[in-house]
Amino acid sequence: MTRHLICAAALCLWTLASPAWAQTQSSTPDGLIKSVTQDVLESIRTDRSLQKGDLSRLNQLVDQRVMPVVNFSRMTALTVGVNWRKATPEQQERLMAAFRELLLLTYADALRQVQDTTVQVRPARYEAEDTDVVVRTFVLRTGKEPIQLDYRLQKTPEGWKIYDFNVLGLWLVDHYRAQFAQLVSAKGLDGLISALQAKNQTLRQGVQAKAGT
Amino acid sequence: MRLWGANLSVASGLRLGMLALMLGLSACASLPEGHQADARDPWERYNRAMFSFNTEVDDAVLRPVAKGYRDVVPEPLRDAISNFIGNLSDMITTIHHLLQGEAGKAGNAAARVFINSTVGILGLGDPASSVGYGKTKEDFGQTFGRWGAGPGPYFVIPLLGPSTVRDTAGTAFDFAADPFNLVFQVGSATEMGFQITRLVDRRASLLDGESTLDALSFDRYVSVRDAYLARRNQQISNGDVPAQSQDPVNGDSPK
Repeated sequence: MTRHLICAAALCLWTLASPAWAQTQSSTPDGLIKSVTQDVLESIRTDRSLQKGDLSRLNQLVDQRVMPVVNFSRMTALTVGVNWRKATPEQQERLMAAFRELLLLTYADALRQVQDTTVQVRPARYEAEDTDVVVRTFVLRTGKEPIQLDYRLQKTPEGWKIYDFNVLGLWLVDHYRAQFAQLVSAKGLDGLISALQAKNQTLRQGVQAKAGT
Repeated sequence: MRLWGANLSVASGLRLGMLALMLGLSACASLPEGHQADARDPWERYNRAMFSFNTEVDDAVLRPVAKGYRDVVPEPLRDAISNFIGNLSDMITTIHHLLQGEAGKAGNAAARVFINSTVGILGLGDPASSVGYGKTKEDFGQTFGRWGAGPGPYFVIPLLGPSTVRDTAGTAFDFAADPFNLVFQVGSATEMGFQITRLVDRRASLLDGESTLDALSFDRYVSVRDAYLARRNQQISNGDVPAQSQDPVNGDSPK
C-alpha cells in the first residue's frame, strides 16, 4: 500500500509540472488535468536529468510550469490551518517557501520510481456555476491495481487552479495539516518553519546523494 | 474434538498474552509534544508503542531480508513470483466481488485467473492486464465494510501493522481462507516456504516507497495511520472521493 501511495504521490507532483501553454486548451478542469498529465508524462520520459533527480533542472521546471496552475498560497494556508491567520506576513512567506521546497524535494525523490505508466482522466461531473471541482484520474500499471489520483481545483479569475490532491483516498492538505498542527502546538509557528527547513535539508542531502552530484 | 480444544486453549493463551502485552505497552508509551487527539484512534498510546515495536522488528529482520531478496533475485524471477501470488489472490478477489454483489468485477477477476493460469503459465505471467482485464484486490475487511460494518477504532496488530477492529477480524478470515492453505498442507515445509516467500515479496514491493513516505512524514506514526485509514475508506467506497471535512481557514481564500 505504501508503495502505491508513493508512486501516486510522485505522479501527482509530476503531473503538477505542467507547461504554462497547457492552460490555453484548458478552460475546463478535467481538460486542464488531461493536457497537463499527458504533457508531463511525455517531458519526464524524455528528460534523463529529471529522472535522476537533478534539483536545479527540477526547480526550473516547477517555476516555469507548475506554479501557473497551482494556487500555492491557498494550498499552504490550508495545510497550516487555523494557525495561518496568526502568522505574520513574513512568517507566511517563509512557510510558503519551505512548503514549496518540501513538495519539490518529495517530487524529486519520487520521480525515480515512476515508470511505464499511463493516466486515464475521468470526465468531471460539475455544474457551470461550480467554482470548486474534483477531477478523478487513474494511474494504470501492468499487473497492479490502478492508483486513484484526484485533484481539487478552484475557479479563479486566472482560470482553474489546483489547490489539493488526493492519493489513494488521502487528501494531502489534510495529511499535512494534522502533523503541522502538532508541530505548531509544540513549538509555535517558527518551530514549524524550522522543522520544515530541517526536513528539507535532510531530503536535499538524500536526493543529491542519489543523483550523484 | 481434542484438536479443536487444543486450538482453543492456544488461542486463549495468545489472547491473554496479547492483553498483557497491550497493558504493558500502554503503560510505557508516551504521546509526542503538541499531540493532536484523533477520534478514530482512542487506543493511541498502545498503538504508538506497538507501531514502534513493529518498526524495530522490521528494521532488524524483515527489511534486511527483503533488501537481500531484491539484490540477489533477478527482476524477471521476482516478477514471476509476484504474479503467481497475485493470481492466487485474484481467485479470492473473485469471491469477494461476488459477496459484495459486484458481478461485473467478479467476472473481470475470474477472467484474469483464467487467462493468467493458462496463457500466463500457472499465473507466472500477467497477460490479462495487457488485454484489458485490470487488477483489483479485495479482502474480508472490505467485504464487511461493504456490508455496512464501520471500521471501529484504529488498531496496530502486533507484527502485522496498521488495521482497525473490523479489518483485524477481516484479517483473521483472510488467513482462514488463504489459498495457500487450500493448496498445501497447513504447517508443511512447502506451505511455510510459500508463506515466507509471500511475506518477503510483499515487503520488497514496499522498499522503493519508503524514502518518499518519510518525506511526507513529520510524525511517521500519524502518516501511516492517516494513509491507512484513508486508503481503506476509499477501497470500501470503491473510489468515491470523500469531501474535505472542513475549510480550516474559515472558508476564506487567503490571497
